[in-house]
Amino acid sequence: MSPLPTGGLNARNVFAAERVEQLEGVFEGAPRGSLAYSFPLVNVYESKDDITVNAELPGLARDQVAITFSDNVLTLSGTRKPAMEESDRTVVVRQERSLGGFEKSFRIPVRVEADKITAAFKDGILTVTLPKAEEAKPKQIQINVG
Amino acid sequence: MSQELEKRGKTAVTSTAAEGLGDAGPSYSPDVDIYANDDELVFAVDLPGVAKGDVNLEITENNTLIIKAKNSHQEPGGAVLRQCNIGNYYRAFQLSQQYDKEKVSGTIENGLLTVRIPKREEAKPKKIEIKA
Repeated sequence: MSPLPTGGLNARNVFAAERVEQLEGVFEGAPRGSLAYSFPLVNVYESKDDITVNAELPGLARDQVAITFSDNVLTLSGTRKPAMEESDRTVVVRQERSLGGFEKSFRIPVRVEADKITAAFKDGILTVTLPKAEEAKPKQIQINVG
Repeated sequence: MSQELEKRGKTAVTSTAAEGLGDAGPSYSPDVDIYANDDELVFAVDLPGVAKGDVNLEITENNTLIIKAKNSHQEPGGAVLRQCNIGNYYRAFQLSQQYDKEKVSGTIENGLLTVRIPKREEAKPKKIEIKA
């Protein structure tokens, strides 16, 4: 496992640099079709105070998604069932949606306050908000003239 | 899937090219699963970010099912990592004549749209009793 990146990089560079073998990570530049692009697809946002992860999980209810955070790794897991069961009567004519069990992990490249992570779920989009730890927030540095 | 079933599926519905939503910005093609049985076609359409009431279903004169949906998900800012584009959705399918376009129904829950299109009564298979 690669060491946690230290300060000085913006989030884009950090995510790009975090090419960790063990983790099914999500990286800028990962080829489409690679594990990083497996279900669910995510967008990650950074503000001064938070890292926000949006995951597209259509068809799942809030109690069907497990979210864990450990050693700065956020993991989303669950099972997406087919909308209808195949049977003697019913055939699958087209299958494009990713179904079955999933697990996707991301290394969060900044220190966050693990006990203040919150999650919300709306219209099939999961939003996980990870507040940055004080030491990870940008500081304004005064230049003393004189 | 057997040859026969596959053929049945292919003749029942074919995907047509996306045309977009016109001036409403770019639109994206959602993933769709389709199920068929003797009574109906069922479409499961991934529409993350779409609220109830923001889906428009239409079947045209020439039996094209058109699914349009407005994505109201608000992004918190510029993404530092992006795997999915946020925008409206558009998808169209050409249906065979055996489906009843007057009886299309749709429900959306947790960003998953389910569309049911029943077969016309006369297109449903009839069971024929064999008299002794």
